Order: sequence, then structure tokens, then C-alpha cells
Amino acid sequence: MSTPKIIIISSDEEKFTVDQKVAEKSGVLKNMINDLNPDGLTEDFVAPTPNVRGIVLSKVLEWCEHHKNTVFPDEDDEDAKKTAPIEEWDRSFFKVDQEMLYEIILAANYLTITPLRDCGCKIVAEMIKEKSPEELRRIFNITNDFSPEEEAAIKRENEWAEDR
Amino acid sequence: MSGATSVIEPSSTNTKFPSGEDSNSNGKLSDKDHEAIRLFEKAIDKEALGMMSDAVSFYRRAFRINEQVDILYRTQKVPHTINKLREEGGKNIAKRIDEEKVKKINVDELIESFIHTEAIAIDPNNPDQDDPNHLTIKLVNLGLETETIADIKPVSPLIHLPNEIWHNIMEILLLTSPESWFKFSITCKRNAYLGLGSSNIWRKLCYLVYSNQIYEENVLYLNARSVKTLDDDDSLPVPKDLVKILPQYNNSWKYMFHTRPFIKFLGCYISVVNYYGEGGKAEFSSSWSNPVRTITYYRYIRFYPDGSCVKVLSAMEPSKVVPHLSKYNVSNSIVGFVSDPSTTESSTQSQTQTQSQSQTSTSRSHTQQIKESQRIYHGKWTISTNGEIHIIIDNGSVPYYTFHYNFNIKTLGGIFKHNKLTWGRYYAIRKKMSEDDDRQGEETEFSLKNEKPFKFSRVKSYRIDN
Repeated sequence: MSTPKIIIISSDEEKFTVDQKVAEKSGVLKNMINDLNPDGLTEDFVAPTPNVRGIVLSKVLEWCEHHKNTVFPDEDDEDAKKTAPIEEWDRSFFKVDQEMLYEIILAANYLTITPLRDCGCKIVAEMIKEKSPEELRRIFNITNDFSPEEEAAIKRENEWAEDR
Repeated sequence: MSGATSVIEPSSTNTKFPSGEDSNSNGKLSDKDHEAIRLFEKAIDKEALGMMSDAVSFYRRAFRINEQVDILYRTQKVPHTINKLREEGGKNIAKRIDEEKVKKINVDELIESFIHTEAIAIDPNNPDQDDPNHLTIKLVNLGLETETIADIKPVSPLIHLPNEIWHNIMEILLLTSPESWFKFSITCKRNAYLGLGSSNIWRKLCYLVYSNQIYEENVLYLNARSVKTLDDDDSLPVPKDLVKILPQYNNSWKYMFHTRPFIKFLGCYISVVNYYGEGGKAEFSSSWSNPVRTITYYRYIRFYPDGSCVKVLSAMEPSKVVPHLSKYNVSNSIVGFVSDPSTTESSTQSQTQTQSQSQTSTSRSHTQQIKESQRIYHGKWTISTNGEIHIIIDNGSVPYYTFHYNFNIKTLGGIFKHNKLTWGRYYAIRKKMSEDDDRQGEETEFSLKNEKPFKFSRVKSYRIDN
């Protein structure tokens, strides 16, 4: 018998067959597989992901496949992880529209693929960097709903805090 | 007038050039007017840098070309500037605001009130969106006469990411681009709550700044025990664990950040000193008054979280000095040979040290060539819990002195918290120069008469240790 595979089913019933190693990039799937098969897999394992659309799941699994051998640093230095530059491959992986970026981050969050979620957060942070407030409003399509006085008061009390 | 640009004479006597001729009412400007405005703007720049002497000189040249250059500037340039600011800042920029209303706002309560506020999409039919009621009417209309009104696109889906994800994004911004954290937080009510309303943000900021402070009380405590660190941080006079001191700040991280002084590292502190010295009459001058010279110089200090700092005293303006102001600048000069901070940035400290060692032989002679006014001096700093800064420079401009500076951290203009260093004391203590030096320990007090407070300036290229 060949090595058992993991079959992941998206919310729209699309099936993705991947190696256990790839699926286990997801903390949730890893726990599910190991909890139900404490002695190891003997046959294919079916895992439904009712919150993730097929088109998103396929992207997420592309990332898991690429990073199946990547060892991500441990949790201990959160700041170093947050300031580490985005890898070139990840950067092009995330060349998607805002809707897809949103869904990938949500899926990574739901499936607890922490490095993917964190990378998505960095991509959003990069969208925000070096932009004026008005540019940011355009990027996120949001209205300035402050009164002039409210905006002035908030700036006066908090803007200095960006200097440190 | 002589060629000296730093001479102030009584102005406003110069009415030789009639104005209005060149600038006619249809707003077309002559070359002369453009030149006047250009000089006027230069003067503004110089004034902003504190270079009063140069500023005055440029103002005079501008007014000599057109004595109404100030009005010209206001009518021609200011609207452009305001438009540009609005393009970056949005509808509320450069708008007349009711100061009384602003003062009455309790910002914490205001931000707290945004907890359930949703982001509103930009309405292309109402680009200014000055009046929120107007928007509601438009939305109502939208259902009735859809054809005549452009579609309102929804807000970006990213806005709907869960708050925990947004907190993650905010922390990345706090760490890598603090300006962007604030700019995002001021885009709308919902984002203000996200970026400024959560105690997580202020806790993060507290940890980012206070864990890098070198507390005098702790240094004294450790020195008295002749150790560098303690296994048990609990016994330190100023506990490292911020949670321990949080109750002193009403259990509010924001309150701690707002009230507990700290030294900033992502920039440098600059003091601009202008004083008047006697000038001399120009040759063949028939003037009966003696002109006065304004002398401008700058003091620069940059701090590092390891307790070291660098100091420069120079007549060179900030844009020329700031890029070279680093303890890793091995030339020790602000016009040094290693002028590109990025080359030292990437190299580790040990590399830099070996580099500087290998260069000692060659740089010895070079060191002697560094002008006093370009030299970077290395010192040590501490902060006490009440916000007093103490800087010691052992290898200063005079070999037999150890220089001491005492500063107090203050708020600038009532708004920019912990942004100002005011002078406390400036003195020197005589070092031991020989075996039986009976002058050792003598104190010399320096006058603070001409000194001005330091203001913090953020420098984008500065990392916490480069």
C-alpha cells in the first residue's frame, strides 16, 4: 500500500490530495490527524475545511507545498519575526487582489498556519507603509468620518507617540 | 551692503523698488517675482533650521526685489501648499477649527466611543463627504434612482479582518514604521479605535521604549555590587518587569507611556543656538551703527540602548550632520571618510571594531586632522526615574577633563511628550593627569547662558542600533 494521503475538502466540495507533511503545516489539521490516528496513518485521511473556498484552499496549499521543508523559527522572539523581511517567493505568492489576500489570511488564521498568517499581515503592513492618510483612505476605500475638531484632538494627544 | 551675509541692519527702510508693477492682478508673475518668492522660501527653510542669520539675509534679498513678497507668497504659494497637504491629509487639513471644542474633547472617551463604529466607504458622488448627513441622504437615494448615481464600492475586505489580525498588523507597523501606525490610525474612527484604543498597543510601546532605558538607579545599584546584571531582576531599584510598576500608572499602559519619561533612539536630539556677537563695519561703510553678527551653532546628541551616546557640536546644519551621526562611524567625524551609514549598518559591531583597530595606524594622523567642529565624541548616558539625563564624556575636547551634562526630559509645546531636553548642569571634573595630581577632582562649572533646549527629531534611517 502506498503512503496514506490527506484529502482536504473545501467549502465548495473541491477535493485536494496532499502529503501528510504538507497538510501538517496547518496546526488544526495536524492535531486532527494525530488525535484521530495516534498510531500513525494507515489509510487516506479526509479533512473538511467548511470555511475555505476551493480557490483559496488551492492557494493556501500551494504555500504549504512550497514551505513543506521550511523550518520556521520558534515563538520566542516575536519582535524579530515581525521585523524579518518578506521572502521573495512569498512576496510574489501574495501578488493577489485584496479580496484574495483577505481570504488567504482568514484561511491561514482558521487553519492555524501561523507563518502564512504572519506573512499576510506583513503584506498588509507594507501596503500601509510610507502612505499618507488620504492615500490610505483610497487604498482601503474608507471615508474620513472625523469632524475637524475630533481629528485635531486625536492628533494632538497621540501623534507624538510615533517618535521613540 | 558688503558681501557678508550675516549682518543685520535695520530693515524696512528700503522702499526704492516700487511693488505691484511686476505682479499684475491677473496673477501672472514676472521672473523677478518668482525670484523673490524663491528667496522668501529659502529664508523660511533657513528659519526653520534656526539659521537666523541666513534667514534674515534671504528675507532681505526677497523684500528688496519685491517689498510685498510676503503677500505674494501667501496668495501664490500657500493655496498650493494647502492643496498638497489636503491631498495627503484629507478634508480636515488646514480647516479652521474651533479651539474651544477641541479642548473640551476627552480623547480617550472619544476613541472609546468608536468601539462599534464601522468604516464607511468613499462615496464617489460626494467626494468631500464633509457632512455625514448628506451621505445618509445619498444612500437613501441610491435605492430610488440608481442610474443617476455612481456605485459606491464597498470598503476594502481587508478592513473586515478580525481584530486580532489587525493588532498583529499594528504591531508590525509599530516595530517597523511607527509613522505609518499613526497615519493609519487617523484615517477614520474605526481605525482610530483599532490603532489607539487598545491597551495592547500602548503596552507594546511601553515595552519598546522602557526596556531600552538605562536607569541611573540600577547602574548605581549594580556598580555598588560590582556586577553587570542580576539573576534576580526583582531586587533592582527600577524593576525591569513593567507589570510591577503598572499600578503606579493607574494600571494604564497609555498613561504610563504618556507620563513616564524616556529617551528616544529613532532620531537625535538637536539644540540650535543663536547668539549675537559684535560684527565689524564693512570697509568704507558710512554707517554709524555697529552691525551685529548672529552666530548659529548646533548641538547634536544621539543615544543608544546600550548606554552609549554620541555628541557633536558644529555650525553645520542638521541635514549635513544627521546622516553621519553614529557611534559606528569609524571616522569619528561628521564629514568622515566612512560617510555612508549603510556600510556600517550591515557590519556587526565586532567587525566594526576590528576595522577601526586596523585603521588606527592610518586614522591616527587622520584623527588629528578632524576639525573640532566635526568630531563625534562618545559618551555614556543614564536616565533617572524622574526623567533626569546624565551624560558623561570621558574623552572630550580637553584631555584633562571628564565632561558632565545634566538634562531634564520635558514636553515640547504641551503636545510633544518627552521630546525636549532642558539643560540642568554642564560641568567638568579634572582627571588624574599625573601620579600626584592635586587638582584631580576639581569641578569646573560651564555657563548655560547661551545654551538652548534640545528637541528630538525623528530620523528615518536610524535603527535602534546603527
